[in-house]
Amino acid sequence: MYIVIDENDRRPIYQQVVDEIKALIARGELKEGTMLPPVRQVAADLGVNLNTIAFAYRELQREGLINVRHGAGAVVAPRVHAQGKTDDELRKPLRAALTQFVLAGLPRAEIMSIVGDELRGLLKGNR
Amino acid sequence: MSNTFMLLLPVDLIMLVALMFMPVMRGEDAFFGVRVSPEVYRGEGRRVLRRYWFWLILSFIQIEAIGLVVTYYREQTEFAQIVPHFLFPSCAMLFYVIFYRQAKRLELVEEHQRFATALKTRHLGDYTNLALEIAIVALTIAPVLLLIYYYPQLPERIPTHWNWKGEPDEWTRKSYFAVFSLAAMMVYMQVLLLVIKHGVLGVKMTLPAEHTEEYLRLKEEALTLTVRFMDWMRLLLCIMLGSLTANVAFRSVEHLHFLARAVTIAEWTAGLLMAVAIAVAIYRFYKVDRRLRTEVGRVYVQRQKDAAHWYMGGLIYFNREDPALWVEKLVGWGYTVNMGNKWAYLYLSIMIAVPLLLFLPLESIGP
Repeated sequence: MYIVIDENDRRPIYQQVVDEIKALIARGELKEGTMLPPVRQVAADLGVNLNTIAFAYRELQREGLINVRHGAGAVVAPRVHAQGKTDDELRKPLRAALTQFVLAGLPRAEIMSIVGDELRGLLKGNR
Repeated sequence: MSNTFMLLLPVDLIMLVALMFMPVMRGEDAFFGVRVSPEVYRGEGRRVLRRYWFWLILSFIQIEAIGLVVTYYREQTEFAQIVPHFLFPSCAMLFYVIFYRQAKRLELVEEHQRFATALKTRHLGDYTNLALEIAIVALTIAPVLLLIYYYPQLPERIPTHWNWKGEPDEWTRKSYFAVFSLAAMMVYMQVLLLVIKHGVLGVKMTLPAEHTEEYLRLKEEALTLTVRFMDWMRLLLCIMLGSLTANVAFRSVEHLHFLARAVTIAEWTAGLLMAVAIAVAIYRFYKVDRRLRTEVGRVYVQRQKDAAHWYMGGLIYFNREDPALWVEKLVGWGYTVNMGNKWAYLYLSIMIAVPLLLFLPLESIGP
């Protein structure tokens, strides 16, 4: 199981780490209770500052996706429905993404099929 | 006439072959420690290599010829026979660095790269063979207990150095320090090797974004290979130093004399097995590299930013921005420390200081 960092990407590295780990959790590849590697290891492998990875882990903890305990390391948290977020909060990024598709001039049917594809890809690991 | 020169000649020959192949051991990923494109590697690179070989072999022949003349046609001191064996490695290193400068001009620079990291932690426990550890502890402690038991019966002259037949040729006055310094050295070596093993398991693994799976699998194979090799070395070292330690008692106490020969045989066997282990490890490392080349197409993957921090043609890694302590060697097989990491200095100073503290204070007295 890997996370991939792209130096070409405009997102900062900590954000890429957060997004990659989130995707793995969403696909069910990172199961509840799985230990994440220590910050030092990830930082060394990717050749980035320790703080970058520590920040990413804190971000994931803030969103309730992992539990960080001192000495025990970071563990993937149990899945809680919506994690206390309001419906509107969850919809916001979807709306932003859909806006991109509409602005790109894609027809409705194509957007629907793209969304369906992505969702299938995400849920496949859960079955 | 002493044969020191002839004894050291094979060592020089091995060094010559090693230095000849060092720049191309890992193919185009580390040509003199520099990544070049396959076309450059086969074209201009080969010409650079040929020039390097020419100078290397020429200096080898010259230096060894002078050494030969000095050894056989003049009554010279031992010093004159040993000098060529220092001169050749320094000369060869100089050529290596000069040609590294030429290779540097051919470097293939990749601006934007994608990298992966595995979300898996390697634990020392998963790479530990309990039976082996118990054997090592037992073999380390047994000679120490033996020496403690026989300490009152030991003579006033304690051997500190043995010739190849296992007979002592240097002695020192009896003291706790003189008797137990070798045992302390043995314990120290075992602890140090265990610390290194632990460090090596946490080695930095920069993975390519493509063929990630195969690359990681082969790199972990190389890591397992290294760790197993270290385990063998720890066991053999334990047998070697343990028998040397026990030999102090066997040589000095009358009714234990008969064991001295067995100890010498054990030492030679351990030494021989070490040589075999090294040869087997080299062959298997080579095979892993070959599979990397065919299955992944890359033998060594690193960030462009990190590539700029290898010095002396890929022999020394110094990168203050890199939090990693252990990194994979760019030239050659195995692992090395990031000299830009402050822990590296602690490692190195302990590695040098402890043996010096254990052996320098020993005062040698005549036979």
